[in-house]
Amino acid sequence: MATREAGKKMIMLKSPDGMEFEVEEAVAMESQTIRKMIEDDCADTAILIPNINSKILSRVIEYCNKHVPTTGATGAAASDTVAPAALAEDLKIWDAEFIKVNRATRFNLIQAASYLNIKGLLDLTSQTTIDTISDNSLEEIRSFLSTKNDYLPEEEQTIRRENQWAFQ
Amino acid sequence: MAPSRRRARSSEPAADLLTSLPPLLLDSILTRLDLRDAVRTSALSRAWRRRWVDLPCLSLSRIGRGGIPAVAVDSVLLRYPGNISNFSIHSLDTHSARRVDDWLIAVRNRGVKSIDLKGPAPAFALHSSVFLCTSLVCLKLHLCLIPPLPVEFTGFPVLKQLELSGVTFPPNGQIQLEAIIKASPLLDTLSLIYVDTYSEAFPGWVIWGANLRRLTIVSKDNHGWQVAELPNLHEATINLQSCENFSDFGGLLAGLAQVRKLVLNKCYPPFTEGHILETLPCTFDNLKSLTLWTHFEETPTILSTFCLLRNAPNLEELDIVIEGFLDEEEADGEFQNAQWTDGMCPNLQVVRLKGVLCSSNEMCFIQLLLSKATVLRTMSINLGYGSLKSSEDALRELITYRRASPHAQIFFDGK
Repeated sequence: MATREAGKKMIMLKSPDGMEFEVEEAVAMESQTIRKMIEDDCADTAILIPNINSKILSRVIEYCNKHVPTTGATGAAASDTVAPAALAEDLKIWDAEFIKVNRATRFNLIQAASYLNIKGLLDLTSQTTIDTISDNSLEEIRSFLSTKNDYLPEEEQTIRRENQWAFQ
Repeated sequence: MAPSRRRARSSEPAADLLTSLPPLLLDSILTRLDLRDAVRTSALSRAWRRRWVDLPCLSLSRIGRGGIPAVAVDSVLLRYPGNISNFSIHSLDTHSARRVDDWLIAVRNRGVKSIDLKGPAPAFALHSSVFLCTSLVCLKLHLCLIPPLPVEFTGFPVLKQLELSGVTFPPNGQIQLEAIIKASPLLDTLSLIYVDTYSEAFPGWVIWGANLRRLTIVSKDNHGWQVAELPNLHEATINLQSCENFSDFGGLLAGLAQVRKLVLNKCYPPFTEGHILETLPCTFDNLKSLTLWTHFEETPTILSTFCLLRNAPNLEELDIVIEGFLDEEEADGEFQNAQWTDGMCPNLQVVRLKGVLCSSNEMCFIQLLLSKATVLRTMSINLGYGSLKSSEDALRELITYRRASPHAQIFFDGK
């Protein structure tokens, strides 16, 4: 990662597979987990992020970079000229593109967002999954989640009968 | 054969991409599902069989036609032991309305945060257990008969929003309503829309609220409300809908003295009989935005408008919706000019007038505002149906008016 101009505090994030990412402190602090580490002074040189591989970590940093508030001293892009509503709309479009990833990546992102406590990313990844469940048939959901239907046919019938209203 | 096989297999049902997530994370995802989709997951596999039942909370929202059927509510309340976060009913048929009592009793101890009930017409009798849901943050009741407060009522310690519309209280309901409001210390938003408190006499009862920020009162009758000082009031809407016997309108307004945004709909004589607002017992020092539904046909009404403007020194935006009937008493330029005191409307920047009929009283008012408001930026005028002047004539006249503010612009929308 390129070093930003002087004056901005940088933080080194390390993934378990040995990659290092230098990011602005403000970007890293989009994660409440990292924010807590920084505020508690547990982060002098580099922070090891366990369980999140470099591929996923780089996507998470990409998300935080886009979502860090651009006002104030950390401003990466000037937002003075753009109306807040337009900015929000732009972010929504960006999010929709960002989340077009394969299943494995999406579930890795959910876990990363949860561990790093990044509310926006957790909302985005969770809601995308919820939409998949809401919009599809049981068979399609099973195939998306790799769920093995281990019911006997008569068992499944009983369950459908118990809550018939939900299956109509 | 089947039982032994089930025992062998159900010890460790196979996980999939979702069920292999940590349980708390999975809870946080699945609680976003609506009820139907949550219940439907039970048919995915054995691992999902009772997963929805283990969720920390469910929402029973949109019970009624086009939403969750009554039979589903019964079934869920029977099988699901957890919290019910929202309980909302819209468009119930009379058959399902009979079940509401049992449902309210069932959700009472389930941490319910929001109850929103719209009864079927005619109004249905509400069960009193609704007053025992102490975790409520939002309570909206529409078209129902309110029961007396149960003796166990201890208040709504976290209630922020109370909306009552078209509800009927038992006799002397004003005492009950006062008690509910008083026992809701965090109340932020209060709406009383066509609330019948059934009081023959009008013993004044008081709306309190240290934290009240938004107050709406719409009523056809005087129910004797008074307003204690509301230190945090931001927005108030008062709509008196032809209420003909309002005894102390000035006193009611005085209770709203801290308000920043005020909407007064049909709050002029004769609806405020005996109280032509010539003087007010308060000054609206915080008031930035005022909306009036009024007219310029009769002297008492015009005087009321001037009285409000005189007592709102920091007003920045004024909206007037004219409900004219073109039967005007003469209240010409000289008369209105005499009502304008020095330094009135020093901060007025935006004026919007809707339904303008171009009567001479209205034109005088517009002329006066333009000639006196020194920091006015925009005045927009929208002609009403039945205007006395054509758009061209009205505009021709408007642009000849002297403007006290060098930046004042006129926007005109003719009809």
